[in-house]
Amino acid sequence: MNSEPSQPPALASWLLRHLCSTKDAEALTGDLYESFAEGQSERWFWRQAVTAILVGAARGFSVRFFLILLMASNALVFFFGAILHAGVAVGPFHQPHIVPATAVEVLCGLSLGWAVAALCQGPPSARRVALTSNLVAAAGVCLGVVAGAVRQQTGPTIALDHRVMLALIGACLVILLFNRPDGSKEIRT
Amino acid sequence: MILLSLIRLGDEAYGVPISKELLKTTGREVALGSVYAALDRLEKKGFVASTLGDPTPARGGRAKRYFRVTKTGMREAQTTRTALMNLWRGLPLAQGEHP
Repeated sequence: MNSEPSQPPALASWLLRHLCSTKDAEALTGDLYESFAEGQSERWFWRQAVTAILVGAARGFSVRFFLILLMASNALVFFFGAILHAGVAVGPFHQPHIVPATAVEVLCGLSLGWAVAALCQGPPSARRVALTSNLVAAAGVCLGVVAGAVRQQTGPTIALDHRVMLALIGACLVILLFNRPDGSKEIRT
Repeated sequence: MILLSLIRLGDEAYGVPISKELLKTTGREVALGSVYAALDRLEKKGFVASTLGDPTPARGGRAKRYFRVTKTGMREAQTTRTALMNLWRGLPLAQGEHP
């Protein structure tokens, strides 16, 4: 009597389908099904599925994850700046109440947040969205630097928060412009 | 090892036979996820090329991805072979002696 189940473990298959995001996911899953049908055990299937998910995550997510981390951090810096410019003091941090600065920072933060959401979902247009949102954020910072210089009637000086924002934008732009896996224009998802 | 396995398998080189070939020749089971990761790197370097086959019911309706070694890959395999032979040459183990 053959006690081996005819179908591979449903949960492992589901995890493979939803968490293995590499371009080879279909072929790899097919290979696992084929090997299972040839007599491999459930335990073998589970081991292979988990390895495939982990290896796939390491291959596909590294650059995208780093980009998401940078852009999400920058969005938070923008929102924090917006709170301060709204006249709210947070601990030792405080800024003069400037409504246009708040508006621009909220806009930039939302723009970056939109790009983070796009990168998380991974559509083909995600790279373009990320590029646009970083350019919007860069324009926002430049506007802030110029407005600050005009307001204080001094030469353009770049405050620490603007430096942090620009550094994060610069890092994202470098990744977006120079990291094109397979020579494509999309970030591997 | 992957390149050599592909050369040995010829037209039948896809995930399952490749991992079986590796098990047969090295005595070690290699996870299919790792095999595909290596093949992906080799494909990016232009050493291998891949094509999709037809979906089959035995594979849950999923297609096979067939791999073949390109001319660049062949040259690279030869270069590696020569380099390894040069490294082994003159070593006592290469002549069946034990240190």
